[in-house]
Amino acid sequence: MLNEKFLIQLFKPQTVYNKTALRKLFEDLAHASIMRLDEASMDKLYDLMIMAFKYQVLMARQPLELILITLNHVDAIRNFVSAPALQTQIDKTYTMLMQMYAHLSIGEMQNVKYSLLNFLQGHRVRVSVFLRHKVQNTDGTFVIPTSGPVPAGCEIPGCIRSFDPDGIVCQTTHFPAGGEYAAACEPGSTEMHGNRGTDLGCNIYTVPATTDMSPMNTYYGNNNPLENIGAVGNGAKYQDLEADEFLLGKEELNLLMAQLLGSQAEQKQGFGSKEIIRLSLFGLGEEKESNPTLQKEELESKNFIRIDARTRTSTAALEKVYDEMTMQNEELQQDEDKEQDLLDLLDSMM
Amino acid sequence: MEQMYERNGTLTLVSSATAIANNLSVQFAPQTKTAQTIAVIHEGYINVIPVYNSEIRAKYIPCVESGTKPRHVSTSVTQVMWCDVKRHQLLVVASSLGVQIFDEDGRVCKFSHPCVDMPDGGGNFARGLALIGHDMLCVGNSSGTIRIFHIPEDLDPVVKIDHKQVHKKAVTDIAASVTGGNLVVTADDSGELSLWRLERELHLVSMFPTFRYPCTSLKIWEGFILCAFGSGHIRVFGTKTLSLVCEVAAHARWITAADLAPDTGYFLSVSEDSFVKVWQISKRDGMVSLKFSAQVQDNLLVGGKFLCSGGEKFCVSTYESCNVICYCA
Repeated sequence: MLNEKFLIQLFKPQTVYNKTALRKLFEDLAHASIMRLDEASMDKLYDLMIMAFKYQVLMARQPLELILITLNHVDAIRNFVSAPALQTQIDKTYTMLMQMYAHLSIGEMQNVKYSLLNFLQGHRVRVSVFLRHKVQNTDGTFVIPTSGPVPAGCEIPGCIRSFDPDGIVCQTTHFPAGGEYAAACEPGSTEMHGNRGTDLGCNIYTVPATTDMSPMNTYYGNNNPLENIGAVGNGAKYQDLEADEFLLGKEELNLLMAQLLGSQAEQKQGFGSKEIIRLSLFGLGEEKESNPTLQKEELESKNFIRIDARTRTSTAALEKVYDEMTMQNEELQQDEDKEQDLLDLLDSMM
Repeated sequence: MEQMYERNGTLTLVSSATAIANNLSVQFAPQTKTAQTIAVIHEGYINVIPVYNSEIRAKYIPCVESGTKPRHVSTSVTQVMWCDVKRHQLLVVASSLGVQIFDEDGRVCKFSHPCVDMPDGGGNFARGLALIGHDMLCVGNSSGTIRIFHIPEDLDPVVKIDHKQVHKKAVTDIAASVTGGNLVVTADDSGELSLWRLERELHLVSMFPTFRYPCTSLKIWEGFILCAFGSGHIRVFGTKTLSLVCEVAAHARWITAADLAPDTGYFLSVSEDSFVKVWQISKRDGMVSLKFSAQVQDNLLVGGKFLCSGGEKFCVSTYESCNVICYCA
């Protein structure tokens, strides 16, 4: 997905993709992994993705926040990968993003925001996690908060200042703000590594915890990401709500990335490279070194399923996925229930 | 603050309002000062909906290059304005095609101009429309240039009078006034704000201080320039003193549109924070006071206009909604 050639194409000035083309792109991405989604499942996944993105764009308190949201996405990808080559790729992506957007004025970014909102116009799917956190209404619209901090560079509504000819404030009057707004926070950092100052663009399925240290959960933010959208982080660590299930999801994403980059490497080298397999092992690197048998197996293998095998004893859920993965294609297609399970991990949509 | 307005109805659009600044325009009946129709942009189309008169039919106007069929409308309309030029009422449309002048019905395109400075640049659009006096049309564009066209009574020919790069970034809005000698005020995406005087050509009168956030909506009234900003502020400048007179922290999010009722000095602002507010501007000193505030819950408001020159009625449009909500005093 962050392949350099692809990115160069992506960053070329162009009109907004049409929806069919975007949908096809994501279908291809999803099917580049071991995931096999039927039409209905793909619909659900696509809707979930679109709605989550729409939520982020709508909740951006000011248009420059779109850059911070994008960096949250890039940071998340960075946390998934350990191979230096891939880290470099992410750094390049960061540089390209900043070259493209960092110099734009607030007004220009507002035009970007309008383009995105208009592209997303009409998508009104209800998403259970949003409904549960009361950030979405049952008609599919999102709740516009009337509390929380105002954007950087803005002030809480309620003050009228008059100036004398010398430009000095000569009278101040007040009126009710109409909401429980708070003063603006420090703007988030657009440095390569920094506090983005917003949870938009982070994993929406995380809940606060103290113990979990898995790479998936290194986001920093307020205690409840969905109730304090956009608030500046306080450094709390997160744990997945359904950690076991998410470990599965994590593996899936891992494999998707591996496959994407793998196909590129295969074209160059004629076979799947070792580096690519490493990618899919994230969070399990030490285990790999301590287990030479598996490593050998892995080196010989072009099949990602075997990589998964190493963790199959860790949880019952992974065991189950392992079983699914080792099925023949025909069997997989027959077994729609199990595909459904996989998707339920991502979201149960209404 | 008294709650002087009440919600009194909804107008229904053919297709929902696009997220774009100032996405609501009003056509006033000739000679009277009451609204006849409203126009709301949906991508490359313009919804034209009657306000009170049931004899007028709703129209849905595709914005395409004149002479082509509206099969795939890929235009982005940025602003719509009705204007009375002598005996004619004209519909002026700014879009990615430049500026187009239609007859009152929106059926016949009488004039068009691409308003492009760098034809190869791509992503060009016209934005910012204002009528100076009775026959001078002022049009801004994405590269910060303003063009002024003279519209003769029979529309033949429309002539470009001046063409000046007034900003470095895209023009957001233009306002004009004949009092004080054909004043034109322009704003751009970077937050710049400048005042011009149109004689034979545009002359710069003053540049105002910038406030980082762009000004999205501009009005000139009784010697005051009224500006609504992306930061949620409303600022009033004097056209003579050229200084800031009053500053209001009005909204918690981007102000998307503003309007003025010239008879009373009521000023309307709508915002992404879901609030619509009506202010009183003092004719004497330009001071602002809040008259009315209402929340349209969970609606990202994108347009708002008074429906009469006294400001007793107004309506607001919302992103992704076909409802235009009306309020009445």
